[in-house]
Amino acid sequence: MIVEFHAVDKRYGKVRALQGADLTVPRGATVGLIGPNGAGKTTSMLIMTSLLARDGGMVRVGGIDPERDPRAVRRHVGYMPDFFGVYEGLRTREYLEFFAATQNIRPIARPAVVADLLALVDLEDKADADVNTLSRGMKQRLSLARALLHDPELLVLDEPASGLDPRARVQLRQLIAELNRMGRTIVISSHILSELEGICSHLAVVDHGRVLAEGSVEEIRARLSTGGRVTLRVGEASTELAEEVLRSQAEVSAVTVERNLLRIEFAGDDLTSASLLAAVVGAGVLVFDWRVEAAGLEELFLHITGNGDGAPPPAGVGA
Amino acid sequence: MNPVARRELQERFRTLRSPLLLGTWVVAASALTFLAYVYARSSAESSLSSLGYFNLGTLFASTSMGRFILHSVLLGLLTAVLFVVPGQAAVTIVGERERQTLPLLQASQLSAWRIIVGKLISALAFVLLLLVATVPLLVIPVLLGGVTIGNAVAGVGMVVATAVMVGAVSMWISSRAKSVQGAVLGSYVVAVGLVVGSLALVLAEVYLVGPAPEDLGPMRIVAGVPRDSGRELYTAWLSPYVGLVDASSNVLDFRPDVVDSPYTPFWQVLLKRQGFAAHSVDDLYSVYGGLSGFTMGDGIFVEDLPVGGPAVTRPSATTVGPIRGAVWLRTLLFEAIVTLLALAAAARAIKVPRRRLRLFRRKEVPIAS
Repeated sequence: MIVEFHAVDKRYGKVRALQGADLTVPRGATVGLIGPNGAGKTTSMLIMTSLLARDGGMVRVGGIDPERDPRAVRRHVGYMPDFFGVYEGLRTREYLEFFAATQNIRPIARPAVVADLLALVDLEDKADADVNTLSRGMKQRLSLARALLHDPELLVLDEPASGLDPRARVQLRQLIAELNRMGRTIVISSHILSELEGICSHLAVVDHGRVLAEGSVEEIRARLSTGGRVTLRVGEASTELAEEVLRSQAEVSAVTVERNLLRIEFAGDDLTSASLLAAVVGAGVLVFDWRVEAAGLEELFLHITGNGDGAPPPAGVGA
Repeated sequence: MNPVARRELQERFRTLRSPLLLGTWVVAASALTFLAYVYARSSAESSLSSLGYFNLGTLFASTSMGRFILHSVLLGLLTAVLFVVPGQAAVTIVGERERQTLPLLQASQLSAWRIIVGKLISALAFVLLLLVATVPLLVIPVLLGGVTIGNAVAGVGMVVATAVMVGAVSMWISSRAKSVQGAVLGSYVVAVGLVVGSLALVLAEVYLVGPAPEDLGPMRIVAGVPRDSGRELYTAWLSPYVGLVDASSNVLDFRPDVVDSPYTPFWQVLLKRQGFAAHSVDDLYSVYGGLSGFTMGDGIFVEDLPVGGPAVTRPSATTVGPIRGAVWLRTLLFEAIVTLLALAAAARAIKVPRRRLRLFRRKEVPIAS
């Protein structure tokens, strides 16, 4: 594990931003820290990056306590906050060279490092542009390049896609996926869950300062037993038979029919889905297509946080 | 080079603002020097013409004019620095906060001290450039005589030391301020407080606390020199102006001054400390001139000025040894302490705080691997 939180507390005056938060980030994973505004995501990230002191609990980043040796932690961590700090009148290349100097990168190595990163984030043609003139998407990519200057093994990205247009969002997602393929561990937060869909291997659901669930996306789906939806296409002659068979299965909660397309909702996991398919085929139904739709992040999140209606999360959700 | 200082300097000198400010500064300093020269010359002409030396003021009074110009320019520089430095230094840290760049620096490998020192260097580098641009003007009084290069260097040194202190204090205020406006206002209040407050304290100590028992006691002759024991004026250590005057002139070097130096009020304070009530050789002459027993080198002697005018009896220059050590060293020490404390407080303010110490802190539970 590259990041370990155990019973971490943090207060801002009377507000408890984190209350006994437990979190682990496996090396090489892309962990989505999801939760509503004010859930404790940014606080967790600041503690992780040694920019905030915790009030209690235990934290290790790369095996190091950020409070005891913050500079050692900062060597391992690249941080991209949810804002973009601009210095007046600096060009893109100068901006990165300045931050390279703050990361103690030797002067002789800086031009090459900066050129490589500009290429990585596709800003080579903007190297001599005033930072202030860059679009928001470009600034976010530049911010990511800044976080990568000292080649950290852990990247902490706080709401990186916030305020981006769809094209810039797609570019950023591709970049993050590429960085993960290059071996970096990534912790990424967002309250827009669709942004994280498809790029996160792991999730940590945070609400009211607590980590309500964490693990790989599949593990969480399985643990929550949220079930799923299946859309199947059958031969027109066997539509009625298929509906009859499916309705007779205890796990199936709903069946809707539209010509030869049937949509079912069921409780269970992939094994349940497979047994349902076997039952339908066994009854002699001609099945052309069987498509399982897994629960999306939003569905998982609502399930974990009690549908956002203040209701307690379901039992067994905790990590 | 400190990366923060380098970037700030790069940013500062890329715009037209800096050359414009530098040009304005040089013009203003030149104007001040010229006005000081014109005033000194007219004052010298006027004084000497009353003694019968018509139109020879600059010839007979060049040393006095040199002192007047140097002292005026140094006092002007110190005052200007007290106005310029807070404006430069107060925006440094709070500006990073407003631009949201401070967390980016904190997340880097730079320590809080390196950030603070870089900021101080960048804030003061420009002020130092302004002072360097003024150096040629200080050569004029040295050429006129009456002052040495040492006086000019010591004076500029004190101005620089004061600039560093005011810069450090302004940065501390900047590190605590919520807005740029608040930081600038607070820094100017503190700078003015340092100047006016320290002078008020000196005056209070001189006049309100009352004289020491021996201050107005019977006159004593020490090695042929008339003096009382004086008394230490502790508040004088705190005043940048008194420190500047003490560093760039010798208050116990009595000589006839045709043009009164702007240092005169500060000399009165310093003389009080060294045990003299007089502030010029004329005063000494009027008090002690009639006393017998003084010989060359021991104290004051009286001579007739050479021929060329009506017979005038004036005292000559004389130097008296100090009773107490230099004030400027104490002022430097005070400024160094304030500078270090302010920088430490500023560094502390931008450092990521650790957990507050608690008497009964919850024991850390190890993570099960």
